Amino acid sequence: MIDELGRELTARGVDRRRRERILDEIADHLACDPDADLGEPRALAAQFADELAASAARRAAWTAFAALTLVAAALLATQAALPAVPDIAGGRSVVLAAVAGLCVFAGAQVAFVAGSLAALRALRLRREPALAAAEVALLRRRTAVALGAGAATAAGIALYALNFWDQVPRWWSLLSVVLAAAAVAPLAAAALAHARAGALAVSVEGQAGGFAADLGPLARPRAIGVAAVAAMLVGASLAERSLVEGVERAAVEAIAFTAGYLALGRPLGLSSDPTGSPRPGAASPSARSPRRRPG
Amino acid sequence: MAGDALKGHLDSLILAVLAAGPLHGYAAIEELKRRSAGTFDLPEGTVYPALHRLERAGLLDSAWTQAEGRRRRVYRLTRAGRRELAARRREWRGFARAVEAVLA
Repeated sequence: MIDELGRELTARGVDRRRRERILDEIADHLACDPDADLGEPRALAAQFADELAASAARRAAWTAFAALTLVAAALLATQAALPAVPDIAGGRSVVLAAVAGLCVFAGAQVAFVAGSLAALRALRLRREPALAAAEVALLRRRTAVALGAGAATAAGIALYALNFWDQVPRWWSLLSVVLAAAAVAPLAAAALAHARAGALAVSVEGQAGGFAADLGPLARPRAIGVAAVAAMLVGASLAERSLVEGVERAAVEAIAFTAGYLALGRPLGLSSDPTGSPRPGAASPSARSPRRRPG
Repeated sequence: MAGDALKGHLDSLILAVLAAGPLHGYAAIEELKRRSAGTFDLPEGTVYPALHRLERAGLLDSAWTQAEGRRRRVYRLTRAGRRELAARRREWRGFARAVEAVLA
């Protein structure tokens, strides 16, 4: 029993420390009652791995969200402290400026969307002992995209400061680089938690809930896109006191939103199952009993 | 009792069994059987993932002790675990009263 359980736990990616603890507990149990009915080692290992995977995926999503709030704080602090926007042609390289701007503009939005969706899904499923493999995979994809976009945002902040080093006050450049570097540590911690969660094999069948499982009746990507573009149009027009500027920025937002949706809609679980109704053969979240695949 | 019916209540039952004092896994299972007069006789292995899950949720904590030369993990309720147990007891009593009122 002990040897077989150890092999099964190893095969399912349970780490050494946890494995040794489980095996010691089971050995103690068998020493108390050698005829104890502990169930099949394979099923027991699967139950441990499934529950650990669900817990680890949720924890990684929350850790990533917390790390991203620090990146967002760094971004807001640097933007608020910038005395004047430098001329794009005045830096070391226009290409570098464009890359930095894209990283900050697109990275921040993608990180916000993916990180919020991951945290929301983790919150909604916080009481589920085990999750379907597809649900764990979706949570992990959202977390991975959020972390990648967060890292791109932090890199963009630093690149922007380095590119305009001579065009902006030295204290601002130093502040930006320091804040961007400080944001890397929590992102790395979250990435580590994410990688650990990926080591566990999940055997629970079923499909992931659709976008409606996150936002209910508000899960309408097109309506959200229109609202984002309208918000940009109004916000930029008012901030810059120029309707032309507002229209230009709204057009960029529309292009960015469309590109982001086309590229990431499916991986982030936005473009499938828009109604949230269960697909044929899919288990509803509440009915997702731990049906485990053999082996 | 059918395994599926018990599954939904296993966490509450474990919390209740540990409310009386710290126990290791085997002792908790035996206490569960004793208190239910043998009704709750489930595959004992399923209790260990539940103990680990409750600990991850902060409702239990645990520590190693030595027993007859073996390592033994002993679990105890945390303060959050006591609060959770009280909430689950209230919930269950309300539910049981409602079912009884309908069935009676």
